[in-house]
Amino acid sequence: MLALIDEIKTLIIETLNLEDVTVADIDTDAPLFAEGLGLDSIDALELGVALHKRYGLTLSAEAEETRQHFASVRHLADYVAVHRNR
Amino acid sequence: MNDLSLPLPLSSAPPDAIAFYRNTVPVSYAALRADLAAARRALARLEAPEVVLYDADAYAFLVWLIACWQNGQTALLAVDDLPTAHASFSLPWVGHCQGSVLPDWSDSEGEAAAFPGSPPQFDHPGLVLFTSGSSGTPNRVPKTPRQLYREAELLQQVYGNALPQDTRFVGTVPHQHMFGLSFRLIWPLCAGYPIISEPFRYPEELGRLSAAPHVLISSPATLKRLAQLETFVSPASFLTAFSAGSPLHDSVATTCASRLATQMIEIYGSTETPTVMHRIAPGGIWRELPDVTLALDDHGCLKIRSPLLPDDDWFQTQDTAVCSDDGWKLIGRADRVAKIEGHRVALGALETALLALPEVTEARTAPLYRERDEIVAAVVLSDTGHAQLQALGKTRFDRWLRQRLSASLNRIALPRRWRYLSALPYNAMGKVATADIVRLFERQTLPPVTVTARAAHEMALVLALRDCPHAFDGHFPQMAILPGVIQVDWALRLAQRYFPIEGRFSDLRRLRFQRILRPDDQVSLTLRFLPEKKEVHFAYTSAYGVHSQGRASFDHPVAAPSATS
Repeated sequence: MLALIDEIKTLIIETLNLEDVTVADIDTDAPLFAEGLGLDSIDALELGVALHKRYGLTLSAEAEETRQHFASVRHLADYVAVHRNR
Repeated sequence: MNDLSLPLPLSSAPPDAIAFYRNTVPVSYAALRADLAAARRALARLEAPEVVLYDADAYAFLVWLIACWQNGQTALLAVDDLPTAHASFSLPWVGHCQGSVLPDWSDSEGEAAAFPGSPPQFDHPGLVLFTSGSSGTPNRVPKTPRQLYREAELLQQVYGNALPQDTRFVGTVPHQHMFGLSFRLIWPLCAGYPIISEPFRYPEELGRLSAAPHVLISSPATLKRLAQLETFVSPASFLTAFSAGSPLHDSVATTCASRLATQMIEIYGSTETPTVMHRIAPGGIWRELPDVTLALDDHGCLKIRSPLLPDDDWFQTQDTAVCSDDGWKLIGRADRVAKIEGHRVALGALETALLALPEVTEARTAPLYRERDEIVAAVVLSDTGHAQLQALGKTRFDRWLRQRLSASLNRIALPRRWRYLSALPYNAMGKVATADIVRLFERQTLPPVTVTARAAHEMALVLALRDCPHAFDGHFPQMAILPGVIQVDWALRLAQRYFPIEGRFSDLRRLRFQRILRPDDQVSLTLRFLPEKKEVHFAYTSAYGVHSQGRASFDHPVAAPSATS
């Protein structure tokens, strides 16, 4: 699981082309949006596309559910671990 | 008969009255008239209705300009003589500059027929300026001598009473732009005040002026540095100092007013309008020039009617303002709106929010349209800001700033990339061009440069290494040293920016790395172009001596592939 967490952090950095941010800078339990990493809705969109490409999973159109998956890197890793099909 | 294309003193001033000072040597009206006649003859022989004019010397520039008007020719004002400027005009260049067909008028003795075109006319559009700076691609702005003389008349009417006839006009702003042209040259010429020809690029140079009354024509870029000098002494007495180009900060205005022992007058205008309003800085109320009428459109933007405009219609600006009983208050630019992934982002509002933070002293934002649209920010930090940056590190400080802004702004409007600079990249007009901000975020960024000396094939540049931290990335974690390959890359790219080099880079010789370069080194780069050998010689030097040097050769241009295949 630890490996997947780091893999997702790298995916976030690469996908969003975050400057100067390293894996160590991203807190596993901090929110990705708002006061945490501070991502915006466009970032969510791009991240959704990247997750689909990498793990073959489709995020629900249901906003509330998506918000839960994106609550933190740990939440996202849990979701990916269960639903991935590649 | 009075020639209406001539400012009055040119025909009426006594021959021995002083029109100009060139390097402290007085130039009489008699000499000016003789030079004008020679320049007219030289220009007439060109038989060109339009010429491009560039001369860094204000005296020579003005002689060429008035001679053009007397001949009925039109002068297009180039803002520099770099290869890019040459590429955009296929007209003869006049003045002491690169690629000029008429560098001076000295060999135009004797009689020559006047230019066979139209006779001298007051209403002939004898001048074309180009708008520059923040609003993107340059626009042609034609002007008639009548418009310029009318502005000079208004300025003399407003300010002239306080200025004795021997007041000297000295400027730190270029005369190729509207403000410098009007205030440094046309106004004193029309009113008969002597003009100091050479520009004073650095505030400390004002200490070289004589103990005479002066009017200073300047901009926030120079005044800000004047306020920062540890000491400032000048024998000159300044009767007034004018500033235009961008807003003058209150603290800068206060310090400069005290150092120059005079009142600071801030001018609001543009190339098109030109002078619209003025106020005493800091804090004075903006007032229109006589006969200028202002109103607001539905979006709160100023519109202007002025005798200085070509017609009586309203001229629409993108500057927002409010009007109270006291007068006008300028707010900012309305057109600086970026579209980020479909969302409108007002850059002015974003910068206002940044400036409201105690950590930020200056800020400029720009949209970057690459793989994804985003806003980038170039910021000058206060001492508090620097301390915070040190404490948090750049990544967390970036995020922390975004967090502070998110209270008042949509998250999509927040800058995603940040550069912390020691100063914003102001150009000679005292403006920060969007292109210069965007350049800071290019992956292969060149450092901000200041040109300190320039001849046809030789340049000296000061490089701000501090503002290029990515160049030191990973080289080395224990101690930052500028990699040699980057030094060579910068030298070659800067050479290609400033010299008309044809062909492709082919060879590097005599490369020596003698001293390491660190982020804090005050380093200058000298570049020499040898066109006949197709070589560029470069050297990085500082107070410690030469750091590195080398010679690059360029191929002959590659033949264009045949059009048929």
